[in-house]
Parts: sequence; C-alpha cells; structure tokens
Amino acid sequence: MEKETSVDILRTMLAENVMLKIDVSTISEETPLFGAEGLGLDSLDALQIIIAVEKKYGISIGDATTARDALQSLGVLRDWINARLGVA
Amino acid sequence: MNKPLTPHGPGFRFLDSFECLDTKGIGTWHLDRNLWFFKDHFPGNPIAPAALLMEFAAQAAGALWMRGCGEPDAALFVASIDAMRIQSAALPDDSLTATTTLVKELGPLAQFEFEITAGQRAVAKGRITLSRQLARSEAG
Repeated sequence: MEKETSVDILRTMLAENVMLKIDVSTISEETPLFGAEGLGLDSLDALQIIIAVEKKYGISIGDATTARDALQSLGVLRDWINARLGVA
Repeated sequence: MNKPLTPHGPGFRFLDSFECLDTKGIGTWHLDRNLWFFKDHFPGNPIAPAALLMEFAAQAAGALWMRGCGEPDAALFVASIDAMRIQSAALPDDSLTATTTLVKELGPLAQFEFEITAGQRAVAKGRITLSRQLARSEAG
C-alpha cells in the first residue's frame, strides 16, 4: 500500500479511472470534481475513484456522505487520504 | 412452476440456476444449440454474442446483490461496463458458469467482478456496475 499521496498521483488516478473530457494536467487541486462549475463527474465516476483509492491506499470509504466530503476536489481528496494515512 | 431468478421476461432470462457461495454468486446458463441467436450469429459459425455474455454476467451479479440485500424481486439496471475481455468463444452446447463477486457498494450503485467459464475453459472476465435507479440524461 502507498504511504502518502499527492495531487499529481491523484491526477494520474483520475485519468486512469474516469473518462475525462479535458487534459488531466489542466485540473488544479481546487477544481471541483462534480457540478457544472467543475469537471462534471457523476456518481459512477465517484464509485470508480473510491474503488481506486481503496485499492491503492487501503482506505475504505463506506458511505455516500463521506464520499461527497472527500471527493470535492483533488486537493481535498489528497488531504483526506493523507490524514487517514497519518501523514502530517 | 419455479419462480424466475430475475425480473426479466422469459425471452431475456439467461440464468438457469443461481446460488450464493460465501461472498460469491454462481449462475449457470446452458447454451442450447437451438437458441435464437445462433442461427444468425453467425450463419454456419454459431457463437454466443459477447453482449449476451455480458448480460448473463449482469443477471448473475444482480441476483447476488439482491439476495444480499434481501430484495430478490427488485429491478436493477446496468450502469457501466467497466471492463470485459473475451477469452474464448462460447459455443452451442456449452454450459456456462458466471462467478460474480461484489467489489464495492455505494448508495444506489455496486460494482462486481465476474468470470465466465465453460467447464475448465475461461470464456470471459470483467467488471460491471449495476444501479438500483434507471439512468437519466441530465443534459436531455
């Protein structure tokens, strides 16, 4: 299992698991993952990302509320994962 | 008369049997050589269509999910075919087994891994996501 993550690692994960309409390198850590103001991902994309996070980091995201909180943006997801990995 | 294993009508049921073993669902489908699609897929060279193999796996995954939820009659829908690889042709008189495993359930969605075999022969494998809700286009 990986011990720490970064926005660059999560960009790669996004590109591998979600059908993006834009170049992944243009996604900043603040870009919202969902909604018209952001990438416009949907619940299926969220499930794919959650499964990828669980496989790579061994962290379980068990409910939709937690998923919504953790998947607001790549920066939020990075902080959420690192907090659970015990990375300061 | 036995109760159907899925909500599908008789012309679109591909599960002859289904059982749960630990966390796995095991569905079977015998490919009778008189099945309607063999005549034209392909004339003189009958092969079970990959789309129907996928549907067979989806029905086995749905049966596993609904029995796990205690809702054996609930309607489920294919939300995404996440991966599928054909490993060998499924032929007339093959007896297929679809083994499905729940990967992750979140809200109305659940992803499953599946393997389809004919005896010892690998036929197909992949991942599929089912939904309790019928997808609707937000753009439409």
